Amino acid sequence: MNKNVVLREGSKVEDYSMESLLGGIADSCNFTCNNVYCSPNLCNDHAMYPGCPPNQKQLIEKPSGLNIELSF
Amino acid sequence: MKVLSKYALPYALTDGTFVVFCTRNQALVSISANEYHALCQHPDDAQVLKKQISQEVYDALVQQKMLVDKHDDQDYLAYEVLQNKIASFANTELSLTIAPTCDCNFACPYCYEKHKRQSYMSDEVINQLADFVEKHEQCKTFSVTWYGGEPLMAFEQMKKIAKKLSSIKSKKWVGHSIVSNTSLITDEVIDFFREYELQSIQVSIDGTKAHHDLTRRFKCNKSGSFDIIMSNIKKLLLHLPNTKVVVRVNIDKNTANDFGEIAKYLSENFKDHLNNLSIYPGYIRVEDKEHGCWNCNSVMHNEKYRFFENMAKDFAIPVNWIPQKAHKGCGATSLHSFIIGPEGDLYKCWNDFGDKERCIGYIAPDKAKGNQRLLMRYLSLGTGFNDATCTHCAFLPVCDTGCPWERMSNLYEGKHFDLCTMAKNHDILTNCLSNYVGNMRK
Repeated sequence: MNKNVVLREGSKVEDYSMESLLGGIADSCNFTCNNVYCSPNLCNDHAMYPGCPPNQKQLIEKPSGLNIELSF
Repeated sequence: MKVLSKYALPYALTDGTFVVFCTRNQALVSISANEYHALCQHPDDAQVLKKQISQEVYDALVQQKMLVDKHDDQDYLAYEVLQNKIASFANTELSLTIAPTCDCNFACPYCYEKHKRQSYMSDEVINQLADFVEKHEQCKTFSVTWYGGEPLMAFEQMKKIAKKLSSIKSKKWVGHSIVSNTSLITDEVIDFFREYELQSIQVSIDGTKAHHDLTRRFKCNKSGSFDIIMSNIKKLLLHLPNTKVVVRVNIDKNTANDFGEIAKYLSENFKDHLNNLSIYPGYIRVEDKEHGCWNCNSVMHNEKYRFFENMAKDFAIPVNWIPQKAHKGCGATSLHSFIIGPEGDLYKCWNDFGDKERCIGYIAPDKAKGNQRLLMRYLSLGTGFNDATCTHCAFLPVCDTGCPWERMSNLYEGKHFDLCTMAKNHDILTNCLSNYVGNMRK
C-alpha cells in the first residue's frame, strides 16, 4: 500500500469483534489493558473491548515517561 | 460499483491538501483536488467516481472501506447496534461501585454531594451486599470501585466488605480500584491495598498548588491539601508497585494551562515511578439551570480544541488528533453495573448517587422499591441507538452518543445538553486532521 496515499490504515477492530462472536478469538486480552497507550488509535489493530486481536505483538511499546495523552 | 460511504468524509486541509477520513475505521487517505470535488459533488454516482478517481486512490478507498457497496453502511449500522447490545447486556461480570460512606474530610465549595447524609455502611448492609453479589448467578466475576464521599473515611467498613466479598466462592473477585482524595493514606491503608491488591487509585486535583489550595481544602481547618496529596502519591508509588496512580486535573477556561504545569511537576518529582503514573484532564462543566445546558464558563468543544493546541505547542504534550472509536454507553446503560450507597441504596449513575428519587432500588430484597422507571429508561434509551439523529449520523462510530444522564435530562426534563462528539464540528476536525498530517510530514 502506497504510504503517500494511505496516510493511516483503517482499524481491524470491526473484523476482530465479529470473528470473536464465533469464538475464534480470546474474549479478552490483559496484556496492556487499562494502559492509556493501549488504544485502537495508537495501536491500530487493538481494542480492549469487544474482542482482541489474535496477535498481541501488534501492541506498540509504551513510550517512557509520564502516561499522558490528550484525545477526543 | 462503489459509492462513497456516509462514514467517509472528504476534508480540505489547512495546508491546501485533501484527504478522506473514515469514521468507521479511522483510516485516512490522501486525495487530489479533483478527486475531492468528485467525492463531494457526486458521492452516490458510482460511474462518475470510477471515472474521476485514479486507480491507485480508488483501490485505496475501497480497501479502507470508504468506497462501499450499496448495503455496506446499513450493515455497519447493524454491527454497531449489535455491539451496543452485547456491551449493555453482557452478563459475564458484575460491576460494583461501592460507597461505604457519603462523608468526606474535604470541603470543596463546588461539591455536588454536600447535601448528602453522612451515613456509614452498617454490618447488616455489608452482609446484604455479599448476598446481593451472590444473587447474580450468571455473572462469573465481579469488580469493585470504591467511591464516596471519601471512601477511606470508612476504612473499617472497607476492610469488612473486602473480607466478606473475598469469601464468596461462586464468583471470582477480579480486582478493585478507588476514587480517593488520598489524604487518608496511612501505613495500614497501604497494607490493606497490598493484601487486596489495588489496581488503581484516582485522585483529583484542581490545578497547580496555588489554584488547588483555594478549593480542595480540609473541612476541619480549611487548609489546602496539595502538599499532602503529592506526598501520599509518592507513598503510593513507592509502596504499591502494582497499583496505577491516575491523576485527574480539573481544568476550567481559566486554568487550562495548569494541566501542562502539573504534567511537568509530576514528571520531575516522580521520575523514578512514571510507569505507574497517569494524568488526564477533567473538563469542568457547570449547569446553567435557567437554560438547561452547560454555562458559558464550561469547557466545551472549542475550548477543548484550543486546550489541545496549547498543550502540544507550549508543553510538547502528545495529542492524538484522530478521533477514536468510541465505546457506547457506561455503567448507567449496562445491566450488571450498580452504584451502591451506604444504606444499600442502588443507582445507575454517579450523578444520581444520594438522590433518593433517582434510587433504582435496594440490595435488601424486603426494602422499598426504587425508581424502576428510571432504570428502564437508562437501559433502553440511555444510548443513541434509539435516536435517529445518532443512527443517521456519520460520526456515530467515533461518538459515544453522549452521556446517558444528559440524554435522560434532555428527554424527560426539557434540558438542552449537547450530546455530540467534538469531531462533528467541521472546523475542529479539519484542524485536527491538518495537525495529524502536518506531524506525519515533519
